[in-house]
Amino acid sequence: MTEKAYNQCVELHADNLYRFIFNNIKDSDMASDIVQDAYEKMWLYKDGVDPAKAKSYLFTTAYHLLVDTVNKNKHLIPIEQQPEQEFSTDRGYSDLNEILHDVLNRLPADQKMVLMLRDYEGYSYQEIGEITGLSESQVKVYIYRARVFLKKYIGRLEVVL
Amino acid sequence: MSEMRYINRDNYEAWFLDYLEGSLTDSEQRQLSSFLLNNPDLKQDLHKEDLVRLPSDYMQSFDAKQKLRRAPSPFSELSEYEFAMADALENGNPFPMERAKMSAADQKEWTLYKSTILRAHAVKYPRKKALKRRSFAILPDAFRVAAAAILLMLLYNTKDSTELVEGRHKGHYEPSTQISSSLTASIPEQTKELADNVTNNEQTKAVLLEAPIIMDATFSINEKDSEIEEYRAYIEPIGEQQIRQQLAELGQPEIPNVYETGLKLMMPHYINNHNSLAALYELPETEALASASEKSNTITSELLKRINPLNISYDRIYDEAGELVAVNLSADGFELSQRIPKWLNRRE
Repeated sequence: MTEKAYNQCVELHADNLYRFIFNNIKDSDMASDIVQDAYEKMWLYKDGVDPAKAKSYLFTTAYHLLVDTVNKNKHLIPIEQQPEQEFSTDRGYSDLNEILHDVLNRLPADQKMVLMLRDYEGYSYQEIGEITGLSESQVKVYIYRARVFLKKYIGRLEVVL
Repeated sequence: MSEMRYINRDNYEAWFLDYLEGSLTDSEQRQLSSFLLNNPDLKQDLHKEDLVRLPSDYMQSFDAKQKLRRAPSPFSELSEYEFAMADALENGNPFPMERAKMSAADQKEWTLYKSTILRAHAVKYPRKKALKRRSFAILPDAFRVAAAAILLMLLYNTKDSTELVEGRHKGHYEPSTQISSSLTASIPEQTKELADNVTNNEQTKAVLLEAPIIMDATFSINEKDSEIEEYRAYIEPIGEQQIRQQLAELGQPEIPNVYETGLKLMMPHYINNHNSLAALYELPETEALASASEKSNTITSELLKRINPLNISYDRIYDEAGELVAVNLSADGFELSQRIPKWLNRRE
């Protein structure tokens, strides 16, 4: 990978990568550090990185850094362990997308990550599997579960659609 | 009906139902006929339709069955209905089932499922510029070659023409001027002899011999012809004898020896430093310098002051109890203190 290709990768993917990380950990500094580390690693091994697969490489690296960070800061409670009243809220929402992003934080980390890779980045199950190290079938299960949970949540909120 | 059973007034309704459904065996049918003969009041009940026919509402199939059935593995956590919805959404199908079969509730569910697709916010990574790599523009090969050539030329032209060679005196070195062969070739033999007579010092000879030639060359380079002519007009009438006399009057020139000169310059400083160090050890012991460590401290500080150009000083700081609490290193531009941990500060 040339310097030009690398800089092009920065232009094309840095925002998306940052958004993916930030929406997962909700900490701009940590998200920024992870993005920086991912690019640093790509630069370090630039000779072995195919520019066509640079995005996947970045997301894979960032995903693993993210998992490490999440494991260090175990603030996410699995959805199964959340009390029922957690599913209701008095908060006023102006936008369904806002609700969804709020609900997203209630999903288990792995479901949240794969769903974001799917919806934000448009990755296929196979690509998400390569990034996360999960099987294609497992990715699919996580995504389906996440969708059902999100639907149930917004259904309970009785959002006017 | 694996076991033999008997009809009576308590269970006759079940028998009637079985009869209407055609599930009675021949012997049971005969038993039923015998029972009706003995109980004619019940015979009319056998033909009542409402006993065996449910209202039409109950005959419809349960439309929520799909919600009860589990989805195939590995999605068995989800119902078949949820799976169908999610699957349709994921595969981009317009509807999970035939639209005609979709109830209003299904339609609403489907709308909710479609709403679960996340729309990305536009987010800007704030440190994008810092990620980019920049390298200096690499010069083309031609420029590299040119740069190397210029560098070589500069190095060649600035080569120091003075080098140290071993002199006549053992262990001593003196500077010697390299005389270029082009210049020496043009020096007349007579002038060389003259210089030999005047002095034995090679350097002096070189100066005497080269001066006119170098000046001539210099002036010719500078194209100051008038000055050259003036110089020649002064030199030529003097003649060889007069030059010899004038040189003899000058006597033996004294060319300072570099080593000796250097030694002379350094020696006073060396002696001074030596005396200072010697004096330090001879200082009388005062109360403040009673302990050997304090004396050492002062000596260290003094040494630092004397041998370093930054005027660094080193001090130890004691508390009221006389315990060493910190060391202080200071100079003109800075001061550095290091606190000593208590466990380290135990006096013997």
